[in-house]
Amino acid sequence: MQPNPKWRAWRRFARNRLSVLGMVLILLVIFSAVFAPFIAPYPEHAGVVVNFADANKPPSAQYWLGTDSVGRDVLSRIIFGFRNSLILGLAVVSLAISVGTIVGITAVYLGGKVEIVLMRITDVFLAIPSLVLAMAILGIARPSQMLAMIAMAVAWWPWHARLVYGIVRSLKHEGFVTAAEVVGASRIRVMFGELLPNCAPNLLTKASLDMGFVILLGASLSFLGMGAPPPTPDLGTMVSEGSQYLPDIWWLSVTAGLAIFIVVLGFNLVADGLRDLFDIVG
Amino acid sequence: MHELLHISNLNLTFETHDGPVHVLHGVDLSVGAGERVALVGESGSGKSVTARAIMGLLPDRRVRIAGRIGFEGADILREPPARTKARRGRDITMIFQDPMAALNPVFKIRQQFTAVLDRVDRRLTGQEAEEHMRAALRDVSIVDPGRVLDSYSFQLSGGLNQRVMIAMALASRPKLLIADEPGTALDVTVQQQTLNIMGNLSQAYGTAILFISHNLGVVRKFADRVCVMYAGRIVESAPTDALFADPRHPYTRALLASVPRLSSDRLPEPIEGSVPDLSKLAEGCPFRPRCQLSRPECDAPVPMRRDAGRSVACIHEASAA
Amino acid sequence: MTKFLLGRLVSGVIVIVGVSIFMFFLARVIPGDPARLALGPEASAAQVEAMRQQMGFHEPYVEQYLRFVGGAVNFDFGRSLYTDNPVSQDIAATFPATLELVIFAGLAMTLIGGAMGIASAHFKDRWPDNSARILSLLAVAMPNFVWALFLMLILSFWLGVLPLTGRLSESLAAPPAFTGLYTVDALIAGEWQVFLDALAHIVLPAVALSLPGLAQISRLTRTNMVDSYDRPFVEFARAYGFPERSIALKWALRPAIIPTLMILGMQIVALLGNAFIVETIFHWPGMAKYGVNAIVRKDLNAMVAVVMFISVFFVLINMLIDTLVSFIDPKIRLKA
Repeated sequence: MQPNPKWRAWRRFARNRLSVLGMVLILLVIFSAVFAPFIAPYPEHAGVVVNFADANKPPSAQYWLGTDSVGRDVLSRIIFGFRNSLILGLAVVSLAISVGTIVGITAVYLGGKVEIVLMRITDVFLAIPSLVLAMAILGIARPSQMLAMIAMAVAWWPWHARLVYGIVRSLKHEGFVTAAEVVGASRIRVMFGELLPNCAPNLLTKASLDMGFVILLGASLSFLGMGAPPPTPDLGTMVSEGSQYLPDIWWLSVTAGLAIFIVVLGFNLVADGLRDLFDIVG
Repeated sequence: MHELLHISNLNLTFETHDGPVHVLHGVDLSVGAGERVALVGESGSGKSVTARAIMGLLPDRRVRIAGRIGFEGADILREPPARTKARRGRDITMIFQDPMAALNPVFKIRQQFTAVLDRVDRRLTGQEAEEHMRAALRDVSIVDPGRVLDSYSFQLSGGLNQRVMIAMALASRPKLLIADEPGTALDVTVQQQTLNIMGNLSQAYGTAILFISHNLGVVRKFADRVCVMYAGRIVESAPTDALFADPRHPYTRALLASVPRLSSDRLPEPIEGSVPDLSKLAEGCPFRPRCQLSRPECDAPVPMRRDAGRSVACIHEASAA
Repeated sequence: MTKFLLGRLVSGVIVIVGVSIFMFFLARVIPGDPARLALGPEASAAQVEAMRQQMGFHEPYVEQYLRFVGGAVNFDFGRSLYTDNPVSQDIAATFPATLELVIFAGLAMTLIGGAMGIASAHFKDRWPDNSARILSLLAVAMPNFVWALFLMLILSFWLGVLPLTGRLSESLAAPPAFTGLYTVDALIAGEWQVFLDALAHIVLPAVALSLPGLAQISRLTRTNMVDSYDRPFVEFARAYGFPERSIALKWALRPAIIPTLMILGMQIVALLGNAFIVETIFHWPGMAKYGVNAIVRKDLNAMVAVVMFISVFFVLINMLIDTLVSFIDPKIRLKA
């Protein structure tokens, strides 16, 4: 049998069955997020709908996961909540990766004082827990989805800066970098043409892991009332709403909580699979 | 000379993700009391695995093992694991290829040596143990045992670490010492020194040595008898002098030709090709694909020819004899 | 070693100065008009102006910053706009509750996480390993507020075995303050019932707080232990018949534990961050709850002080851990 490289990569990824489970979970979540208006039983419940007649209904055939305190279908709001979580995660992770990568590569490549200053700044941001840092930034302004993303990216980029810095620094004196310099490639070219691709496997794995963590962070922020303002369907906000009616109306917190869990778990498992695939230690 | 270790028809298979790999094929090997036997072959030929099987150090899972490993009448493969374990560090000890890596980086030599001595004799007092360790280190020509005991392995040179290992290995006056490519990580002169120390001491203590090496040149001065291993089989076994004077297996000859010699103008000749894939090995001679004498008959199972203390697994040898 | 620790101290101070600049920037510069931000849109122009005068917001930023730092080194962060107490007094009053929670969660995280990691590596690919890995997946992937609510729902609401919120039942008086940690103080005073009550109250929040870190530590310890088991020095230990238990807990563990220790500081500070959520859920009257309130109420002095306090705590914890690591890792100790 001819060993097709794609097939072999898949076999390495799938060696751990949990990674496949993670992949399936993420695909399901992405699918329902993209087609939310068609999948959700009550798409209009994603917005401002008041339906007191059906308020606080436990799970039933009509409302599979029950309804909230104003009678909206929990399942529909969770499906739309996936949408928000994914957008948030994607935006924050890409922002954080871009900034972190630029800082990390620049620090190594320019070296000297620039390196010291950049890495010290990174350390400063790492000294404040991400949640607290994001909260503090949100604290000085009115909460909005946009600001929440920026605040979280500010809290998250230092991790990527550290990661990229570590990898690139170990690569700096490898032959191919010197070779590229000798043949007169420009600095920018060496940085992004030669060094960046070498960080890609690590960054991809970290990105998958971070999607999970960032979604978790976002949920924590909205749980504390600092996420997207209502009526945006947000998983963290739903858990928080539900927590006020415990233990009687348990389904709201429990199902929204499990929904967050599924997304984060999916990204974590895929990250594990990527780690096996790329043979990353740690 | 009575027989200390007697391995017969040892077969060993690793279960891997990609199916079983047959690592050892009917290995026969014996070491007499106080004898020095060298096990020689390229990396991947199964030398180290044989050593670990004797020690009982192979993981139980994923390893299938059959045959007999007799040690002083006991059968290591069939006795309770606790018995095998009790033998380690007392009757059988081992020296590793890279002494720096084999010593724990976060404990001082003294702590590790004390743990080794604890296996030899639990009743030693701290003072006695200290004297014991110092004496053992002086025996391997370490002039300042106190400083060495107070050091971590990474503070000592490779040669010093190797001598520490030898001292530890011989502390229990074992019946058998397995030396797995000792000193390969060291430079040649240091390697020679440490081997001399190991040889002299083991002789004084009556310790037999199973010496694993890929280097025939080193083996020549050291071993009483040489077993050449290829692809999980012993292909030739003979007293050292006889083997060097008259190598009978084509692989042994190729191996000898590949050893660089100071006394000769001839350049060493590398062996063409590489060690076969053990996961798909046929019945016949494993060396056939690299052998210049290869013939169709070589695909049939090769019997071991024995005569006058020598044995060789090659059909060409049969026709010559 | 002194040189190594001194270097760490210097970078710690630099980090704290950096945090102070950042927080000053965040609280005083970015808002444009911090007085208006703090007082809200309903306040009159006169009130806002009065506050500006009182806080010195009209001065140049550099002067304001220097005054802020001058106060900060004397633990003077001004008054809280909400409680009207000096902020440092509020922090001193609320920190012990948070510290108690963090100590309990930190111990659980380190000891249980570490034990799980060791057991996982020792029984690699067998059931203890598989269950520990599933547990740590559950622990990282489930947000700790969800854990908190689940635990609360099951253990407090449904089974009623543990109290719901707070540090102590209302029927009991706090033990005489000595350390500020109720469990410890109750033991010192010999008030057995108070001790048990305080313990029952701290279990749920501490467990919920510890889970994410516990998972990380278990995972990292497992990875490094597995790596350690593959090293020649473990084979050496086996070849010389060292007891399997001493291999697991000494010869393989000591080298493997160093990376875990190195992330411990980060994890302890993460506990402080997650305490912001856990204290809110369990109405735990600690500094993190105070911090949440400060941020929600735009009580800038209190917010700045809490963040500064956390970063100082971070630096101190990391110095402590660096010291510990340098004792365990001779390479670090002998280098400097």
